[in-house]
Amino acid sequence: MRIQSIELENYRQYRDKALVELHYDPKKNINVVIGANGAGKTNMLNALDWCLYGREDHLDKYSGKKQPIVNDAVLKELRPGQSARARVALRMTDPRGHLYVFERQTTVQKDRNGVPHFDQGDDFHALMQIGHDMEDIPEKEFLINRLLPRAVKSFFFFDGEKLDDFFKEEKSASVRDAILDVSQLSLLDRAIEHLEKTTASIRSEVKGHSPRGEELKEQIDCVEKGREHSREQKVDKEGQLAKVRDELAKISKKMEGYNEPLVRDLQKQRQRIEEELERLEPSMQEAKTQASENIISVGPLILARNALRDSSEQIGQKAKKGEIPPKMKETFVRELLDKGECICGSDISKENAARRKVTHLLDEVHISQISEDLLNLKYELSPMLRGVARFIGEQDRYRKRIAEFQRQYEQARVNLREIETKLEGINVEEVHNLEIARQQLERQKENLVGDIRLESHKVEVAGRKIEELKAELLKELEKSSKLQTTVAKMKLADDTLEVFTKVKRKLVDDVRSTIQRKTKDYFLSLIWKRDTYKEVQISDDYSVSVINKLGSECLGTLSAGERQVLALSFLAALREVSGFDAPVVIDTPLGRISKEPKENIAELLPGFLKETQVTLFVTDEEYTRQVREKLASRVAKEYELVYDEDRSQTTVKPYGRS
Amino acid sequence: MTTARESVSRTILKEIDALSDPVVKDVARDILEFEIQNWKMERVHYKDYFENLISTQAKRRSARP
Repeated sequence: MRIQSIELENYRQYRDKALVELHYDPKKNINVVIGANGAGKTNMLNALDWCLYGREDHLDKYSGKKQPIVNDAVLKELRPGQSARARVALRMTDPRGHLYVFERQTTVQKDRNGVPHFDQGDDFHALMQIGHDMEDIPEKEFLINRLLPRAVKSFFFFDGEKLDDFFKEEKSASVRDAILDVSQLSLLDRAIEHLEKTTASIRSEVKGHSPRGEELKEQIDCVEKGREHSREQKVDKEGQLAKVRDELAKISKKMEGYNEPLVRDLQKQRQRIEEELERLEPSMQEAKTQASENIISVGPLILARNALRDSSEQIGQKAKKGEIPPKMKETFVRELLDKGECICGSDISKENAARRKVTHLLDEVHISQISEDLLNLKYELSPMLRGVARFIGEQDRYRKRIAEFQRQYEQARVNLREIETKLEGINVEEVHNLEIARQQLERQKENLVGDIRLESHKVEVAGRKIEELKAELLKELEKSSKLQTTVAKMKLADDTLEVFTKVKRKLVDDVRSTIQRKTKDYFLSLIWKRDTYKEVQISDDYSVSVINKLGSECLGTLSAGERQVLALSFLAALREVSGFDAPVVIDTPLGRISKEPKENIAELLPGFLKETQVTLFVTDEEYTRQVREKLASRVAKEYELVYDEDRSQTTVKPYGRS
Repeated sequence: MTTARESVSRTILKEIDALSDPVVKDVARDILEFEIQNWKMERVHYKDYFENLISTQAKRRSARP
């Protein structure tokens, strides 16, 4: 989608009509609107939000909400009985050139006493080009949801200065919500929830037809209820955990920046130990898993090792003594008898002692087959016994590795406790209190992690139980001819439910790792300190880390500008993963970034937002001569917002003209 | 026009398109479309839609040779 034009009429500081026509082509994908603070840049962003979603998400929280949408001067000039309207119209086109017009307006009327009355609701229209005509679309919210849902729009229309807040503290909950929303995993959750409720409703059809079926249905309903409760508990605990983590990050940051060197030093030491513990835990777990897998694969052989060894020895001895006869084929013996001549040359064509001996060999043929199997078995037993012999050595190595990890882990925990005691004992009330609060939060964190694991386990167990009961119910219902339709519906609903569950499982990891990779790529290409940073990671619990070349986590020490670049990179990654082809509008994109990095970003930004229409609302300080030069080849249109204080009015002019 | 169906994470559609059962594939696609249309809407009347869809498509599935 591209924005063709934004038309504002009596909307906040835009009195009468103001028109901004934007452009897009693959080589010139950037439009720039320049304005001083207060000239109306942010309100143009608000106008987009208001027009499409009926909300202004970027209002100044102190003054903006108190002021009416209708232009102040227009409102003052209204006489009793007169009315005026504020209106925003957006013309947009899709990649095939079809035109859409979205228009929202609100009216104000002064009564005979001069008191203004504002419309309670807004008047919103959406028109779509069909052939040569513009047709009114009745289901306009549906249309907006298809083009750019509100949940996703904040990754397309955003305030650059607010981006800094995204990673100011560790905000795993906002990162998680953003990823779930933009990747539409929440959409799959909804589909799963609706399908589960539908299958429950289909199950009710068994009532009065099958007593056993009813019994099973009751059981399924009960287990499902329990599972739902566990899911809710899990979500609730995850929310609490995210808050606890954010609080912990805040305390760590305070201590890192504390004016007492000892506190700073101890906090740094603690951070290193915590990183060490984070590294040790998965390594220790991996060693334990390897040891268990080894036991599982070799374990049965260990239990049978005496029998295996005895069998192998006995077979060997019997072969040595010649008690196991060599391999002999029945066809070979019969050929000799038919030919009437033994391999030794004796005549066996007639009934004689030699023929009787050869005939007797036929009885031994089946024994010969057993001997062949026994000899083969000996060859198979050998590697098994070697595996058993190796097992002890391997287990010993695993045990030593686990013990070493355990030792390091315990030592790190002891060091951590020592630091906690030292910090707790510092005779500064603030530090003491921070440390006590931190320890309480750590305990809460551990409890919550345990609770979440428990609830996850309950959900898993309930899921398996439900599957078993469902299979039993289906079997039961298949016996009744009256319930065949119900059976068919249940099967179809279950099969579809399985599809969504599988897709979701697959997507969760894919999406997180893709966003992590893209955020890292963008961040490392945009950041000016190329040699400082190495990695950006988004963990399973959606906490974000920036790793420097020394391998240390440094999100907390990023400057405001660096955090803004990280947020910009994260949003670009989210936008790309979302798949929505919508324009990007950024208010003050370079506001917090100093001179040289600003030019660097200006140079690289068009590249990583290629094939996207980008509109930048910038101040003069942001849009320096150098930045303008860097962007010049990609800029399609430049406008200037000029605010006339006397008339409370902003006018839009092409940039650079007086 | 670029609909949400086109822009929804391609992986979801790819997974659904790879299904071998044509009826499950159609049902999954229809449900996905329904959820896209109603995404983030506060009150969604899904019940009748889902029950009718499953009922109609289950008949179609049973009638298949």
